Amino acid sequence: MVLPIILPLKHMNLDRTSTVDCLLDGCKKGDRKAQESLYKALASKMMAVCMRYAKDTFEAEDILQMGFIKVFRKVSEFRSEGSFEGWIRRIMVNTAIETYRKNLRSLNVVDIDEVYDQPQSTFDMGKLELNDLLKLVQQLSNGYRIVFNMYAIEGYSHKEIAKELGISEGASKSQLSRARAILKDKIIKMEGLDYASNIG
Amino acid sequence: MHPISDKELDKLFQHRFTELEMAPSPAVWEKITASLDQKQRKGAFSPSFWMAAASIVVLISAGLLYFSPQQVIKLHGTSEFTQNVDTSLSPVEQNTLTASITEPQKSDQTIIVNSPDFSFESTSGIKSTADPLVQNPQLAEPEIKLPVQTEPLLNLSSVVKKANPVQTKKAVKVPNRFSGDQSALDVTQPDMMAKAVFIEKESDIEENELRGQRKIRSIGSLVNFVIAKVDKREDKIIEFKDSDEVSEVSGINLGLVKIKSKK
Repeated sequence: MVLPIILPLKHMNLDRTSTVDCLLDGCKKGDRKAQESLYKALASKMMAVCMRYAKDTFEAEDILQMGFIKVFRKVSEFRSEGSFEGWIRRIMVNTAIETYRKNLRSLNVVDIDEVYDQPQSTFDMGKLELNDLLKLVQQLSNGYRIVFNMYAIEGYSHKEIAKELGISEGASKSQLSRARAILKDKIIKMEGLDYASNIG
Repeated sequence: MHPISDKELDKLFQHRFTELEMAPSPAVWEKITASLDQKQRKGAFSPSFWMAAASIVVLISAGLLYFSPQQVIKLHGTSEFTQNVDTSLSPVEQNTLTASITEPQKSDQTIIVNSPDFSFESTSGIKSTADPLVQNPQLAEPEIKLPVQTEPLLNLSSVVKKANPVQTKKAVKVPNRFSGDQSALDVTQPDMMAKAVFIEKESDIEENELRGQRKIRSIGSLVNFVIAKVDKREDKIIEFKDSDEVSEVSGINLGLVKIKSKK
C-alpha cells in the first residue's frame, strides 16, 4: 500500500530530520541512548498524531507507546526509501488503526453523533485555535474520527480506508461526509461564540 | 467570512495539524524501555524451549502409562533367560574344567614349595657341618625355591581373577550361538528357574555396566537414561542420538509405530 505523505516539506524542521537520520544506525544496533534520543526528538510530534486518532490523552499515550516499541523492534526492516520520520509516522498511524479495530471488536462502539443538515455556513479559519481543532476531532465518535483522519489528513483513498477498517467504500464516504458536517457545525458554533464575545 | 467547502475544511485541519506538537508524559518512555527489556529477557527462555520441555514430560508420562502392562511381557522375558541357562551351563562347566586343570599345576607348585622348605631346614642343619660338596646343590635349591614360592601365589590369584570375567562374558556370548536350542529346554524344572534368576542377575550387572559406559553428555542422553529406567524394551519410546553438537531423535517406538534411524 502506498501512503502519500501529505506533510508539507517546508514545515519539516531540517535540523531535526538530520539528527533523526543520524540516530538510525544506533537504533538499528539497539543502542538505548540512540533510541532515547530518537524518542525525545520525535515524541511530541508523534504524540500529536496519536492525539488526532485518540479520544483522550491516555489513549493517545498508549498508541504512542506501542508505536515506538514497534519502531525499535522493526527498525532493521526500514529501508532508506523514504524519510525515517515518515516511516515512524506511518507506524503510529497503523498502530492507531489497529487500536481502533481492537476497540471495535471489544466495545462494539455505537456512533451517537447527530448529523445536522448544514445551511450555507461561513467562518473565519484564521481565528481558530489549534487545540480547539484537535478537540473538535477528538470529540467525533471513533468511526467518524478515524475516517476523517485517514482521508483528510493522511490522504488515504476510500478504497484503502474500506480495506483497512473492513467496511464498504460507501460506508467510508458517508462517515467522512458526516464527520465533515459535524466539524463544520461545531466550527460555526465556536465562531458564533467568538463573534458574540467580541460584540459583547 | 465565506462558505466552507469540504476541501477547505480538510486543508484547514491538514495544514494546522502539521504544526501540532504535544509532549507526552515521561511515564511513556519508561514503559517503552520496560517493554523492550522484558522482551530481551524473554529471549533467554524462548517458547520453543518450554514446548520442548513440555513434550518431553508428555512423552515420559505416556511411557509410564504405556508400560505399566509391560511387566506381563517381562514374565515372558524370563523364559528367554531360562533358554540361556542351558547353553550357559557349558561355559560354567568349562570354567570349572579350566579351574580343575589349573589346580593340579597349583598343587605341583606347592609340592615344589613344600619340599625345599623341608630341605632348607635340613640344609641349615647340614650347613654347620660345612661339607662343600653337599652345600653347593643345597644352596642352589633355596635360590630356586624363593621365586617359585611367590609365583604360585600369584598364579592362584590370577587364575581366580581370570575365571570370573570369563564366566560372565561367556554367559552372554554363548546364548547367541545356541539360540536355536530352545525346544530342548524344560522351563518348568525348578533347577532351571533358579539358574535363570542367577543368569538374569548377571545380565543385569552387564546392562548396568553398559549404561555406565554411556556418559550423560547432553539433554538427549539424559532423556535416554531416564527413559531406559522406565522403558525396558529394546526400542525405547524415544531415543536420542548424540551427534557432534546437537542430540537428535534416533528412534521412536509407540508400540504400533516404530521409527528408528540407522546407527
